[in-house]
Amino acid sequence: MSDITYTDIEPLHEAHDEHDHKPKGFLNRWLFTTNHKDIGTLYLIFSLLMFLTGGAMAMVIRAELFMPGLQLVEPEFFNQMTTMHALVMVFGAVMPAWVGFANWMIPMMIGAPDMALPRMNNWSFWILPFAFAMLLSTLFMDSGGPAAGWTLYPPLVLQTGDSFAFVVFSVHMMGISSIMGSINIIATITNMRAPGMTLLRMPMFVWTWLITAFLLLAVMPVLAGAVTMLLTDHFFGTNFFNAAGGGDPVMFQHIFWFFGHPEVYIMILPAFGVISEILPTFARKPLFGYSSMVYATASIALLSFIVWAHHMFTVGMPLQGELFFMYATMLISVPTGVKVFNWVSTMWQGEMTFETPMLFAIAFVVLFTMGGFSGLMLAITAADFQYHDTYFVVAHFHYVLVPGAVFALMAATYYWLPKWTGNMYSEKWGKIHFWLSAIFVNVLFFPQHFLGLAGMPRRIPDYSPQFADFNMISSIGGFAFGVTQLIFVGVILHCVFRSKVKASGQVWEGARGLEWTLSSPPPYHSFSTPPVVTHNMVRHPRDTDAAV
Amino acid sequence: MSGRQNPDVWKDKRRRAVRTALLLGVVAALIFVAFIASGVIGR
Repeated sequence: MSDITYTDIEPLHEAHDEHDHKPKGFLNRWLFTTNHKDIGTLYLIFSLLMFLTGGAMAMVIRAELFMPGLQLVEPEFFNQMTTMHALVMVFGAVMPAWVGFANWMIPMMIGAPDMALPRMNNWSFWILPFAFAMLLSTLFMDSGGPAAGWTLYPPLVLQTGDSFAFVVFSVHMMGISSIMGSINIIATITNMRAPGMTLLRMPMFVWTWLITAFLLLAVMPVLAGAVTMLLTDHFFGTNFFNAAGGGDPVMFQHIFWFFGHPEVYIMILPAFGVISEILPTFARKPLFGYSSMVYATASIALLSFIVWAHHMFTVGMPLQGELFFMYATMLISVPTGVKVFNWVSTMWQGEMTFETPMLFAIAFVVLFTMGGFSGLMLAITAADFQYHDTYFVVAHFHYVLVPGAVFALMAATYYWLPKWTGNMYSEKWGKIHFWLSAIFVNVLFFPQHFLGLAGMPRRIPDYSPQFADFNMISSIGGFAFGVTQLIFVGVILHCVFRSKVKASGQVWEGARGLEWTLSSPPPYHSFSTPPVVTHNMVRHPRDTDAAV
Repeated sequence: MSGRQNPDVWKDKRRRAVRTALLLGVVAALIFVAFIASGVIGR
């Protein structure tokens, strides 16, 4: 344990129910809410439901792939499952979860009373359930849901029946929601910081979200443009992507991935921010290289705009183009390496304790780095011709997204749940959840590397018998990982409704930042009088960096 | 921000935030139009 304690920090704002001014009535509280904490809660509940929905689709996929041959579902439905699983997980689960964390934490971290545009915040959220109701409803239509993969490549996706209009409109609605959310976050961070909260005093989670919001703002309109052109090709006789009419289907791939690659960073940059909050807390040391972390995040974001064609090396680009995109992609490993080394240096000689958020954060650093290494392999143009469209790619991006982004989401939930609810979660069940997740996520995804290297293509419901063993292991890992997440739901429900152990305002001994100066749970309206932020309030006592 | 919260302290900041949001909204709309235009030119 550390010899440094932070008991000198008293909560600045206690919760007083009589001053809470919560809206009366269920609809007023949740449908018409403009409170950042309520909207954050709505986002997080919605994303949890989408995790379970997308997870159920993953179970269908792994059940069908348990053995060679067609067992459970029709091939067309299998393709709809792979497509919908990805769309639901990317746009319905991971992205809204991060927006939920942003809503809850950013105003409290910068000392603002709420988001800058609270009514637009309400609208951003309430668009989402309708968008996903519409998207999921396509599974029940005569023409079925989209089945061309989440990348929606023409000409295949244009074979979708009339439900295609619903798919495009739902993507438009998700995009509008994301754009409004990102505008709100940028407007909040740039305008609503408390006095003394300079840019280089901002917590890393706020920094990473500011950069993420700029990425969102830049690329969501690109996706909207791409699907609008698909819509007009499908229903209005245009030929943007129709080769027979003079169009170019490869152009869609360029436009899609100009959105798609930054989208990957939209899902992972807030995770970097969360890990940069959690590691210093449980290592009881300041974050190593704070300003280099900020610059590395910005560098990753900028580089994400010039690497898109590494997703499409096999379409037949000029050699110079392939070389450019290969080297540009490899360049991303430099700022990413800065981050990984800084995280390791933060833990180095720290007085670490291993509560559940810390366990998930350490697993993130190890397993995300593995996903990064397989990404480097895929960046090598010549090698990518072998790996392209195989299970190696599936293994790579699931390592980045599940023990990467999703583990960071779980770490963040365990880290801030006591602050939100005023109750401690069950550490015992949190650790059980962690260890089962960490084991089974590897059982699920690690064999997929071997399958890909052996040549198993992705997005197929049947496969050659030589791939049977690894597929069976992967499916067993998948089922176990899926069941394990029910523990996560149980831990959250227990913490919110049943836990008798109360959390202090500080919650974690080593935590620093404005949110920990509030009571647990924080008052419904926090920082209605702006706090004056000093160096000591936001930085660790061992932080000798006086420049900020 | 609710009117219950200290409006004097936050009013100016909120006004500036609205201007920021409008500017960013215009930027997003221009990117959308630019990429549709790239599709028209590109084909």
